[in-house]
Amino acid sequence: MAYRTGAVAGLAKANMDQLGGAILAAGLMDAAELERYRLILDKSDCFYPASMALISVWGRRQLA
Amino acid sequence: MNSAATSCNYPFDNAAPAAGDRFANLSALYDDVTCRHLDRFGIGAGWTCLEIGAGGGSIACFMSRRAGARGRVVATDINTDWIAGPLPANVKVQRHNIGVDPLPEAAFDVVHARAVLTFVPERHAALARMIAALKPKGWLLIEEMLPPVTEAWDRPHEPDVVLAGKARRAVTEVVRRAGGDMGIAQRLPGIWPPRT
Repeated sequence: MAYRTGAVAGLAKANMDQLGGAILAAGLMDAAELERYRLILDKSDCFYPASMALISVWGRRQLA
Repeated sequence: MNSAATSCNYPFDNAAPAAGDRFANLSALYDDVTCRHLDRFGIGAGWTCLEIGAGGGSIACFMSRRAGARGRVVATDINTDWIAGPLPANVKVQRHNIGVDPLPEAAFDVVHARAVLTFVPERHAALARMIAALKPKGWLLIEEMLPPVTEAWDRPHEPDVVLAGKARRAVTEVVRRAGGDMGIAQRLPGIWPPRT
């Protein structure tokens, strides 16, 4: 299920807060890019269109 | 259960304050879906429940309410500091790494893991361990997130969208280097064992 809510940008921001150091250390983004991305996610009209879809699978163990 | 938790490559720093925000947002986005599945399984009074990767503990608390005083819930995580207290008396919190630590066999009516297998390098062993932890006729619910495909957005060449795509790829790469697999969500139906 994907939908618009502030939690979408909130999750993306928390992800970057937690992984930003590793991303910088790996040279995958620079500090200016990280900061600009955080500012984008802080905007009230953040363009993030939808949440990540959650894929659910389930099953039931057979009788022994 | 043991609590060795000796081999863990989890890329998120769950000691950081942002971990609480991450768990709260995950809960806001996905708890309704998860709880609906659990209710459909018939979770109820007296059930024994295992919540793996409990995060902030919201699903463990839901399980606790459904299971009642005669039931019990075991809530595990590699870092249990974020499981919000005070917890109901039927909830036991256990530090545990599903990638390497054993589980009791045939012990639970339901086992749930959300956003766990993506980050566990030993994901097939973890899945086998979860299945073995089920009682006969017990339910297993696995949920993983599919990252947004930023290239498919309406305005793919706008600078903000390009940067979001770069950030997504950076997160994916950091997770991959830690042994994770951000693509596992779309392959879940294929790896799902039809029989146990």
